[in-house]
Amino acid sequence: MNEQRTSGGACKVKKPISAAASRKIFIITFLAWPVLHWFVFYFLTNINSILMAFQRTVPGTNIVEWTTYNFENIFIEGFGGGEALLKEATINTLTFFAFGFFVLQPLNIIVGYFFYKKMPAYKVFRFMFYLPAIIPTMVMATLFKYIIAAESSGLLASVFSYFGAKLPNLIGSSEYAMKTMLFYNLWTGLTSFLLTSNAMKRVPVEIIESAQIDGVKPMRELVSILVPLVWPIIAVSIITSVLSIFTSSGPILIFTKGEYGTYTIAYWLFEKVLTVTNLEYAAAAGLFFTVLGFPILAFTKWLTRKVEDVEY
Amino acid sequence: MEKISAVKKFKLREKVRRTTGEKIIQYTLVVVFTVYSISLIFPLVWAFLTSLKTHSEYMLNSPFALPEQWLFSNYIEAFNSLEVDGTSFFGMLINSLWYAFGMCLGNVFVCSITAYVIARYPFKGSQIIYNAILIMMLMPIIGNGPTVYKMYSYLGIIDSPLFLISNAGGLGINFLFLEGFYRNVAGSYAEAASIDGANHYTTYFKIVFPQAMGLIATLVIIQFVGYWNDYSAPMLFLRSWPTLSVGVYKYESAMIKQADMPIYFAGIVITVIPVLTLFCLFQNKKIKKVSLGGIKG
Repeated sequence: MNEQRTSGGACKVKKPISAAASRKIFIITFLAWPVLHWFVFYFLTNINSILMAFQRTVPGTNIVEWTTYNFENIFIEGFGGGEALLKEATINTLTFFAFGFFVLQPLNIIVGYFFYKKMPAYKVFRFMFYLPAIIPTMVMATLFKYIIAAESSGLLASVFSYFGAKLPNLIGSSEYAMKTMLFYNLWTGLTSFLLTSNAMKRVPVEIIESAQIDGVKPMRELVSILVPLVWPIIAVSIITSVLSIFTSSGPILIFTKGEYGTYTIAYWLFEKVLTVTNLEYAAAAGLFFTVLGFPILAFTKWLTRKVEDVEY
Repeated sequence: MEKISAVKKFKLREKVRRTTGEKIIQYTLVVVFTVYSISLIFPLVWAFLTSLKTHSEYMLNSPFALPEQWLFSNYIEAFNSLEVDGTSFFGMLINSLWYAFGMCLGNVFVCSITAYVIARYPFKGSQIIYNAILIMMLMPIIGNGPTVYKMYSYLGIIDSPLFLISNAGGLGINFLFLEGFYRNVAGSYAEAASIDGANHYTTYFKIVFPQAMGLIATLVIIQFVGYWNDYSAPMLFLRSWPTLSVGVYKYESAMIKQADMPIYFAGIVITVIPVLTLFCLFQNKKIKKVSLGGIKG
């Protein structure tokens, strides 16, 4: 099998590749691309992110200088200037974080519990509640915008006008824009129930049954038995949602483009890249918020680990 | 069998035990959940009904009014007249398809080969790679958008289908799912193939990969929905290749009052159809069947 006929007709025995070498070749060929990809798209990119934060193109020239100007500017312009957009973005991001942590997460757990308990028509509700995760944000937010539009073609406006009232401009005013955005988050944010209800399904029925024999009521069953048992899943859900607050700009682009006091850190960065404006300053801000976001992430992780894992 | 009957008994007992108070709470919840569900589906129904109206009906009649004539021709008109930055609606549909498929297939495939090697071929560096992936996932760099833009420009993958390469990495959440799968998958098929003379590549592509098809299909579908809906990456990095999600935004933001809104809504409805179809298939557990079939052979 391993013979090769030479031009002179003589047989030359081809040396078989050893099992170890063949294994090594296989590992190298399969891992070469992923490692190269990681090196270019993660390592080099993030190293460059740090370097870029300390660079500045001298105005009117192509000369790039090394400076801490971008970081100084974060405090001068971002937090202390006339618009203080980064200050506004930080406050709004923390508001979204608190809203997600204290409102959306508990609601998702409660909804997941009711689906786990197979409330009437739960299959229909499960389908409906999950729709916002399936329908493009762009579509959902655009439709929402048309529904709450203050113009006569807006659905809510026509209901208001039927009762002789006038619908305020819910996204075009500083008074309502953030509140409307939070409401939108609530309206479309009950989609992680699937994770908790599926995790609850894996809890042995014997545990629930013995608790019920002891007269445990539904709320206690949820808080004292199910939540601790499925805590690792809830913790993942919490951490994922915290991360998304810093990285996902949500529907701000569609609703306000950051106007009316609605900038968030993620949207501010998105806008900088979209308009290719002052990227070095944006890189410095990104680095600044990575450092600033770390304690929030660490706090969330610490909080999620306060509940001991239970094996069952 | 004993366990199944115990579960059934428990469920029966649970039903009997429900008190009147609990029933009242439950039915109140049904009402609340119904109202919430209607609020979620209503915008889509409204968009669909609006898409069948004439422009003057949209402007003059009540937004709640049904279409006077059901103009399904608006859907054909959407394909013909909706255009963003010189790209037709059909062009955007094609862009959405290659973008969503390309992004998820590349990522899932590379994650799959990485996960297979790490799970089944332990070597000195495998644990380091695994830990590096975990650290990467737990410590995301929040604001690397600007440098990503610069790096992609340098690599020449901005505004080109080559952008798909950026996602064809072997790390991330898909890696973790697949690594767990390959670690637990029975090695007997692979061993038998090896005894029969199959090399490592044949064993992977002909024996192990088909076993993982159920999980891979699930991951592809979940990711496909995500990338179909994604607007930020195409908006930032594929400016001449608008997808439907980008088109919905750009068309709306560039629109003047005279724009034909029902046709725009027809475009919105078309954008939703593929992901909604996938979701319905997912609901019917077809993916689960694939998963079972893969290993049972």
